[in-house]
Amino acid sequence: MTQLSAGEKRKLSDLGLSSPLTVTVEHGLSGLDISAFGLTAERKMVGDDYIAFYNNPRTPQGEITAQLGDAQATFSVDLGKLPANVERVMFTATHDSQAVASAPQLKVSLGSLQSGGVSFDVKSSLKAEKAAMLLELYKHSGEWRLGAVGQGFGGGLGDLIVYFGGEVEAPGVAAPAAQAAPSGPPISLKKQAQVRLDKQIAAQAPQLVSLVKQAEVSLRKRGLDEHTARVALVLDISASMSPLYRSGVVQRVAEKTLALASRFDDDGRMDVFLFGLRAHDVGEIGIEGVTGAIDNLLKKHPLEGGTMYAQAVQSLRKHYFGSAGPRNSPLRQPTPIYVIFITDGETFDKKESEAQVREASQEPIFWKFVGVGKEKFEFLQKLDDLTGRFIDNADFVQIENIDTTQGDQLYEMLLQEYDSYLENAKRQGLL
Amino acid sequence: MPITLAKGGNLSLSKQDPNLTKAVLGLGWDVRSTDGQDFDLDASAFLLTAAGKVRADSDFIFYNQMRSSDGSVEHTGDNRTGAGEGDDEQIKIDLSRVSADVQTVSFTVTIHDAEARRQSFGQVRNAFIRLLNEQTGAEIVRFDLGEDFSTETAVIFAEVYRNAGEWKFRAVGQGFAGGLGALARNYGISL
Repeated sequence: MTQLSAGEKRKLSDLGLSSPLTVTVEHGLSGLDISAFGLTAERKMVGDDYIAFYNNPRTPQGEITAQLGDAQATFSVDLGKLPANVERVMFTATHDSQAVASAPQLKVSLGSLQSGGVSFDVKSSLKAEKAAMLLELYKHSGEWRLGAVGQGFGGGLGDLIVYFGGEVEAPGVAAPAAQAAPSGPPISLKKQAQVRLDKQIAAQAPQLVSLVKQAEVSLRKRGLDEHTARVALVLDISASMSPLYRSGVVQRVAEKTLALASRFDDDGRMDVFLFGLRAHDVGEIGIEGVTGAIDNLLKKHPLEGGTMYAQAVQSLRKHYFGSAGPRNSPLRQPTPIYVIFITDGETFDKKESEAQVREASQEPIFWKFVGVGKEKFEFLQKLDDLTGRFIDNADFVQIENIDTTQGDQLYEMLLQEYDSYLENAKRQGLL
Repeated sequence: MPITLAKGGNLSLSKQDPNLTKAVLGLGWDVRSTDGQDFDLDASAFLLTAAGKVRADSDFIFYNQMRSSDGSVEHTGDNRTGAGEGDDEQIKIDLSRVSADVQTVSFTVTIHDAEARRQSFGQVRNAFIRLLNEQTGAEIVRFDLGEDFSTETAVIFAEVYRNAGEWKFRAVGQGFAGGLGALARNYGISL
């Protein structure tokens, strides 16, 4: 069996490991809680459902299941079934009163059917931590890897929850998971996360405060106020967009979209994609980085001389579903993707774009195409009404001046058809 | 307009910024967010001949020897924890003063006392190197190192090198075990 050292990172495939995996933590310390947190790429929690621990031993689709004993915990993990936004699974050990390293032993082993696997002896990496991250599985460049972590916090579970982007009610009070009664509901992080987010918005991006309120009103009208989705903003960087960038219109569009994202997505972040002749998957924008974000992006990605929608659609499909190829059967995932696609002109690659939107209709992703300006946008209208799709997955709206459109009116336009899409997608088994 | 390079990529500095003579290499990484001993990362520069070796120990610019003998390369000082925004350490290079027999200047980062502290680049997040024009402050090129490291304790971040009368920048991102000692020996420093 291969022994890992702290900080070591390996591709699972290099170790002969493949999903489903069995992860075993042997410790022998009474009262030591072993948990598995499903996290985003940024190591933030995606929601309480995706923590497998004594109060919730199974994630919604059974992707992670836990068998927890006094001296040992065993998890089975089906990486392929995890939703696209879970890009890390972190195994942790926490104790209310004692140092994790006071366990007689602390060994994590990983195995799969085909392989004896690897192990990591964590004990020597730790000192007085009452909450420790033991080992993580994470996706990098489309491939699952493992990292031997062996680091943690003296303050215990509360520190860990904060590190994963959650909030602990008051200092000195045990973190929610520690105090939850075994029969009680799993810890509720969504509301707390929202409160934390609102504070962050007020402090770091006050220009969003009133937008968030407008977004909330529009969401409530459509019964979407409790809805969770990932939000993607797709921006045309063809040269004709230049005046819209220069005058700050695109920046304001980004802020308006982020305000919406802060209600859809409890980490308050959105994924941003740029496209011109080529598509660029440029990462996330959150509250802390939104001010000046578009200028910063343009410094790295200058405007391009062309407009290719298909490449952009492909780039998102790759990002969220791992492939932009043809799809033979519908793909089901718990969290939908809501896309705002901003362009000011028609695409050069109409045929490919149609094919991509058609393929994507078997995936839980909704495309809101926004035509900015006075063009005719015949092609976008066609995409809206495209035939041969699994379900209607796109809507087109033309907004002549996105800057002067009132907030509530704008959100109405952006959300139009999304609620009916969600119902339809649920009926057809995409969600 | 700054260029972001991927690992292995290179860029002609002379073409990108024809007025560039004095450059600043800014190197950064995230501070440790968990409890325990901080990561103390050290940036160093090596002046290398066409054979890929130093001419003498004085071609190794680090926290104990902050200036090259020709004055072309200068380290601006050590940052012990990685705290603060932007660059954690900076090294200045005056391209017009680099001795003619120096072909390449290699910029490296090593973890201080890595073995005793059980630290490695697998634990360091968001490392980058960028090159700025010292006179205008404009960023010319940048390389984000990503999460491709594991147990390495020394990493060559980038090289600035001569090519057909021009200066170029290469995003290297190559890691080694053995820390600064191994890296220095690799370049022919006697330790």
